[in-house]
Amino acid sequence: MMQEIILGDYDLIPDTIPSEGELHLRVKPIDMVTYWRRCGAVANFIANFYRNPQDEIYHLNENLISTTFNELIENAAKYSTKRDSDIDISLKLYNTILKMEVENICSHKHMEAFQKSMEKIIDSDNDELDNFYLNKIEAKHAGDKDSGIGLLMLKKDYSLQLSAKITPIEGEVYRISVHAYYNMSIE
Amino acid sequence: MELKAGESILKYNSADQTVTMEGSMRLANLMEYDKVSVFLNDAATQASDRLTLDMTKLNFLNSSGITTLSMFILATKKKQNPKLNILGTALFAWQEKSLKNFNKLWNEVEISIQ
Repeated sequence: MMQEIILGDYDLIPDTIPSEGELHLRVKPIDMVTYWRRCGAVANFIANFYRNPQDEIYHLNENLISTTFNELIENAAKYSTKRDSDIDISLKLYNTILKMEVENICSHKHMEAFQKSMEKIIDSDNDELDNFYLNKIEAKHAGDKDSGIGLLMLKKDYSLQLSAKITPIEGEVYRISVHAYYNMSIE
Repeated sequence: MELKAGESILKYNSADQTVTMEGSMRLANLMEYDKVSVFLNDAATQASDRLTLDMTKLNFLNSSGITTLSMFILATKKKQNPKLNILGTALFAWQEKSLKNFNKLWNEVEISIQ
C-alpha cells in the first residue's frame, strides 16, 4: 500500500499548538455539487466569522479569505468521491496567522492528478509559476480538459504558503488535506 | 444586452462599449461559463475598436471564471481587435492580486485599478 505523502511544509504550525480561535465545518460533496452556490456561501461565512473592524492588530482581508476557501472547497467538492464521504473545513487563528484547511476523500485518479499539480506548484518560484499559469491557459484555449488553475493562483497571486498531505485509506481511496497559511500582518 | 450568470449580472452598454459585471461569479465549471464566453464575444463583435470590462462591482470571481476571461483575452488577441480595457478596484483582493495576469496574456490589455 502507498505510504503517506507530504507536499510542502505541512506542519508549519502543527495541530499540537493551541490556537486562539477555531472554526470547523463539515459538508457533503454531493450536497455542494448539487447546490453549487453553497461553496461560496460557506467561504463567505468563514471569511466573515473573524471579521472585526475595530481590530488594529491585523488587517483581516475578507475577500482574500473567502476566495481562498472557495477555491479549496470547490476543488474538494468536484474531486471527492460523492457518496459516504465528507469535506472537513477548518480555520485556526494563531496571533496574526490564519491556518486554512480543507480535507476530502478522492479516488486514485484524482489523487495522482492532484499530487502532480501540487508538487509542481510548491516547487516553483514566481517566474516559473507565471509560465505555468500561461501554459495552462494556452492549453485550455487549445481544448485541454485538464485540471484548473485554482491552487496555482493561490500561491502565485496571494503568496499563500500551500502544503498537502495524501493518506491512503483503503483500496484506491485517499484522504487529501490541503493547508493554506495567510499572514494577516503583511499587506 | 444582459446576462444573469449565477449570482452575477453582465450588461453590455453599446454607447460606451462597456461590459459591466456585478455581483459574485462562481460558476461550477468551464461549461457553465460558456454563456459568459458567448456574451463577451458578442460584445467584442459589436464594439468598434475598444471594449471595456468594468469589474469594479464584481465581488468574487472563481478560478474557472478567471480561466474563461483569460481564454476570451487570448481569442481577442488572436483577432487583434478590439483592444481591451479592464477596470478594477483594490477593494476586492482577488482583483488587486489577479487582474494583472490578463496583461501577461496580451500586453495590449490596459488595466486600471482604482
